[in-house]
Amino acid sequence: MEQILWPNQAKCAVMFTFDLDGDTTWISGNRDYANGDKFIRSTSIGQYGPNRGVYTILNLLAKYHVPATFFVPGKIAETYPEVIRQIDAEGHEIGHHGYTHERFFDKTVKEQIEIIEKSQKIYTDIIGKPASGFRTPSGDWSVETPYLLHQMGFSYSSSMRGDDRPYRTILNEVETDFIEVPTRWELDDYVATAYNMFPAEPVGQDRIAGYKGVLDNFKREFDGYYRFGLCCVFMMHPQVSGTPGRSQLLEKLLQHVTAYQDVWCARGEEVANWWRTTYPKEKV
Amino acid sequence: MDSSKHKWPNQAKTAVMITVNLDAEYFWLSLAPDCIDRPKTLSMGEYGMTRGLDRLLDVFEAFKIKATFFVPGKVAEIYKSYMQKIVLRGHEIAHHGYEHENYALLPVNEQRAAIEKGIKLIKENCGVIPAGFRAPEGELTLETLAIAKELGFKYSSSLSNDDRPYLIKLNDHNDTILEIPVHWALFDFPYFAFNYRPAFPVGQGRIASYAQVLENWIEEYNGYYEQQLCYVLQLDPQTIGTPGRISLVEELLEYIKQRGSVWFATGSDVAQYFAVN
Repeated sequence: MEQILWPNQAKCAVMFTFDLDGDTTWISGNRDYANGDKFIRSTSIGQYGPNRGVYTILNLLAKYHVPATFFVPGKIAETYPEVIRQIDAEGHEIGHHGYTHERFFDKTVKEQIEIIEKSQKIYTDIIGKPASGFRTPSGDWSVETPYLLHQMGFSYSSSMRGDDRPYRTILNEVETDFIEVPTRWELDDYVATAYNMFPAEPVGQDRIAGYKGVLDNFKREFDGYYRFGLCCVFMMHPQVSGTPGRSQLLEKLLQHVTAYQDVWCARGEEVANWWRTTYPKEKV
Repeated sequence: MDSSKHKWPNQAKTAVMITVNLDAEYFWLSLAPDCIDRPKTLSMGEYGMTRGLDRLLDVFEAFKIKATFFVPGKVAEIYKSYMQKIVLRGHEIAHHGYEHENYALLPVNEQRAAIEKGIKLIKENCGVIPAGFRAPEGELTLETLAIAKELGFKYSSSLSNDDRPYLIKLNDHNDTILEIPVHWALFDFPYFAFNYRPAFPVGQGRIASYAQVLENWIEEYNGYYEQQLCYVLQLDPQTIGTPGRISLVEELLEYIKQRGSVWFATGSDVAQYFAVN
């Protein structure tokens, strides 16, 4: 396979991304239950993210000089503006993640536009600029979503699962400037260790995975991305990886990655820009 | 059950058949038809063909192994150029349904139609007539295998009631087909495949520890080796072909080669050996 070019002759690119969902996913999950809007235990798991986990993670990122990308639902930005300001001030990127972590697959085009615009206004009010990147919340987006994002000026998305390198999104059978920086379930801490008994998360109430095995999986994946020169997009969640024990896994992973001199740790916007300028559209 | 030890070519202790299931997005479409409107879910399947497959082919090349690729007819059609790469490298192409359908849920005439359509698309797009049949991951009935026999297949690799190839009786007329059994423990997909919606596994169980999966495969290999059996590994490039998992195949093959006394065979090699011996 063709070797990908990365800045400064780096062997591969790594993005540490954090979905700061707060309690939005839990609130949506509780909606189907009688009295669900009053549940406070499940939502408290999510609140741990912006209350506690995010600060632990910001400290680790500062310690290892790693720039990151935080995808934040507008509602969470609205509720915790000081967290958003601090993430921005520390040189990390804020990306769009819906307003209340909506499932775009279930929304009409009009609703999707409203959600996107509403959160863009919130980010702008807090940090003076809208998000240039988007990660689809809660599963699939609809067939129309990438068209909307491109029209609305987004630089990139990090939503798909079908590659291990960025690519130009094809819309109406034509390559566009809208870059996709895909991620993978095996790079997701939520898949590995998120848990709640009622409402059940995961639905089959599988056990929390052994941390040692989780770290080993992440390291093996990173080593593979390094070997093949690809773009490794870790998808973490402050409510999951910010706990006292799991943040040590994150620290070990950061140590493992930053031990290489020739790895490019970058924010989503930087990766998208690099790809757009380095890999022009194919001539038709 | 018969406990006498099998004899393999060249006094090998084990027969090892490396098989690849190219389900691509048809795994997800057969799980939930509304995936046709779910680009993210479909992209997991596409990854197998557009990213994972090349890595797997390179590993086989490095270890000089010929594998057996089971492909649904539709996948062979959509990914024709990828299929030709597989054929060019000398691997065997076998049948894995038409659209990865669940055979047990179809009436017999529809089972036959689906198998026939699969054969046709494999012929058209790979230029070969498949000799092997593996029912997709759902259920099948004895009729499914009887149809496969009638349509000229030389072997099936779909069941788990033995750890050696054997002739399965298909009807009262003493018709049989060679079955080369598989086992879930020797398949990467159940350990690694994941999606939230549509949920897979059904209960959204964790992705297994890679190191432990490799240990499972090696433990099994040791058992197959001691008892001189037929070790059939199933891989799907959409799960095994990630940058971090492909090395598990390398580590396993390295282990198998180091133990020695192994006969690496394709499905047709096994079938031919049984026809003669």
